[in-house]
Amino acid sequence: MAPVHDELQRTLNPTCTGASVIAMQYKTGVVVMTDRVVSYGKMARYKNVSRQYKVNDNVLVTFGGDHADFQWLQNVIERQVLLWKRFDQDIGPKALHGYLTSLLYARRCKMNPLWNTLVVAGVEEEEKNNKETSTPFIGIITQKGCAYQVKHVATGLGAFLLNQAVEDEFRKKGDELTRQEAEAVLKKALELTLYHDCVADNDFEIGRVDANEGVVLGKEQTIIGDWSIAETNCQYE
Amino acid sequence: MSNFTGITATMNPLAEMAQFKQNMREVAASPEWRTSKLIERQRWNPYSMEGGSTAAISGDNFAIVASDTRMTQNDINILTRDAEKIHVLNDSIILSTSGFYGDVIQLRKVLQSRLHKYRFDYRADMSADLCAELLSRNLYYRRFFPYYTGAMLAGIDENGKGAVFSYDPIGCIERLGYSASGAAEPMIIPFLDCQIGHVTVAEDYEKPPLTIERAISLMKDAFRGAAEREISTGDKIHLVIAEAGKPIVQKFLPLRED
Amino acid sequence: MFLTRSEYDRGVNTFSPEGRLFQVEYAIEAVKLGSTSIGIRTKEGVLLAAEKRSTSKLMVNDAIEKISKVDQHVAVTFAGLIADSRTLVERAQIEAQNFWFTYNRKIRVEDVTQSVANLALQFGDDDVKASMSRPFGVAMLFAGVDQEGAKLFHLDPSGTFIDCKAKSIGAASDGAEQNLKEQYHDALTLKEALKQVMEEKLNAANVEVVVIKPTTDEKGRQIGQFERVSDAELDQVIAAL
Repeated sequence: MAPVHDELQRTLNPTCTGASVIAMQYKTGVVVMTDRVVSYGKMARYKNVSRQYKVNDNVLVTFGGDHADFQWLQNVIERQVLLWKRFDQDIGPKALHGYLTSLLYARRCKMNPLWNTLVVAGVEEEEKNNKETSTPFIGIITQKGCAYQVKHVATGLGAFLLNQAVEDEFRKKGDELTRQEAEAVLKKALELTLYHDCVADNDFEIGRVDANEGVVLGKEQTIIGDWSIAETNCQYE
Repeated sequence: MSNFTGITATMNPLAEMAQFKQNMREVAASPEWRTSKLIERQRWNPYSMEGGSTAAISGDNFAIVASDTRMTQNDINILTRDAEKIHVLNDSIILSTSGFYGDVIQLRKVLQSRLHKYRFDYRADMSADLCAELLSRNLYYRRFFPYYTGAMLAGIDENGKGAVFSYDPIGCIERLGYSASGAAEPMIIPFLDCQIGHVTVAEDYEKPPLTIERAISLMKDAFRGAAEREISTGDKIHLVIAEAGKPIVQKFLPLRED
Repeated sequence: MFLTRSEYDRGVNTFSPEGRLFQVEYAIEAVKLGSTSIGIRTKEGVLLAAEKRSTSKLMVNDAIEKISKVDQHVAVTFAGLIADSRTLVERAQIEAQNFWFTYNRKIRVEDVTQSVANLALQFGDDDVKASMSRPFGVAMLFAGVDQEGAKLFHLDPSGTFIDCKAKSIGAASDGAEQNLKEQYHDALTLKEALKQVMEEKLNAANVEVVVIKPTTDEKGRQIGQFERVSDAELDQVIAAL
């Protein structure tokens, strides 16, 4: 009998990965920023790839970690959405967050994890078709099924670099933050990752979920940043 | 041994010997300990620690539970300042947890569903005493893939007395007067030993009785002390107070955020 | 297929136009063929007595067990198809042990009765799930002492269970129950209850008696203790009559 190398059939090392996700609540919704590159190790293997997945008009899922695992997850999420559709329901961000938490936890218990950090962003409709009662929602799930809700987040290397910067900006205005202000914070945050995270890219998109507009996927944008520091900080000639 | 058919009796002894030698050669050429499936690998660790501390004190007719609300990654990075580590399961049962938060979520879900089912099966709310035993069984059920949680169960027992049950991750259960678990456990326990257990004070030292007011203020002191010295503890104190014959009260108090 | 009026007793889950489930009613009739059992609840505990009808002197009388132990604090007696009762008693025993294992506490008598009642109704003629194809042909008396005190429950084949002070099931149940109605009072002692039972023409060979007396467990909670009344004790009571 041939030995079964079942380790080889599991994601115990990620292959093509996405880096940081940065998300923030504002007054009537959520803005989410991701760069548009998928890396193979340190190589920028695939460019112009969106890491944001529109689930329906209320929910946007974004990932960091293994891209293949996330593509599989998109399929799973779509099936869940269709299941809800059969009962004439739209899955909300809270419900999807709970579902994905169970899924990721179940997979870690099988020692066969999904190598993703998921950010479920959206607006939760407390009352159907009443935008007044909708509240912004950001839920995080780590690879091992540890889940929590926040008002602002930076994952991946951004968690170490940016969490505090984003939090400081958020606390200045709190829940009264406007969309433009939130987007400005995210752009500044991306600039900071760009300087320090070698797999971050300057090609990015900002998606949003707004109580009134629904999910609006972002357009591709680029940022150059200020590289004047390179003149004094180079170790090479 | 793939050629072994099981019909050895009818085999030619010479052929049998040849087969045996062939098998020996194969085994010698690639012993099992050198095949890849047995090579020691760096195994993926299914656990992570989200830090934080919880403590519980029981008195004659009350039980109070407290935790911080910080969730950390690798002890140095704050994931959220509003994590929920104390779970009020019903009017008399409070679960407080530390350790791996994925397991915490699962454990809470398991207990909540068991409590829900109990209401249907036995037409009453589960008491803290029964839930304490149930939790122990649930933890031990996963003896060989444990819930990595420092769980504590507190509440008002069937006799109207305050109760605190303390567990290890695999279900060892002990009813105590006070307990703590999590990152700052080694700091909070000696403090409570001194102030409530009076085990580290001199004979003639004043030993005030444990009132609910004193328990609450001791709890605040314990967490303020822990937040000073333990990096994964901080942000807020989540205080849950159960008093016999009264509804459970929850409070949040500020703690240092650095 | 055309069903005539009298054929409503074919399917176990088919109501007759009068709203009756004939198979269940027939099962209740089956109980009346069984030997008689009596349960009496007193302040000092609960008593169960069962008549043992040996049809032949070649039968080993001691081998018949008409009162089973469910747990330390619960006993059950039954009338009707004894083979059917084995399934139900086993369910009661499993349920009692399961509760003790999960909660480290003895199950309440009512809850153990409830769980057996649930099983008693799980019959059907469909092949969908492996289950009993007909109602169980037994009535049972659950007796025990739990935290709430002495308890006696009567369970019939329809899955109905009723809290009783005293109850009789089986062939001579009507007469015995008439007696119980006349004689029962709230201050009854166990000894009086035993005498009451033995007034029928019984002797140690054809009756089996179990009492559950209140006691306390190691944590000081009230619980029952299952005790079989020995032949010698029974002879004493009979002699004193």
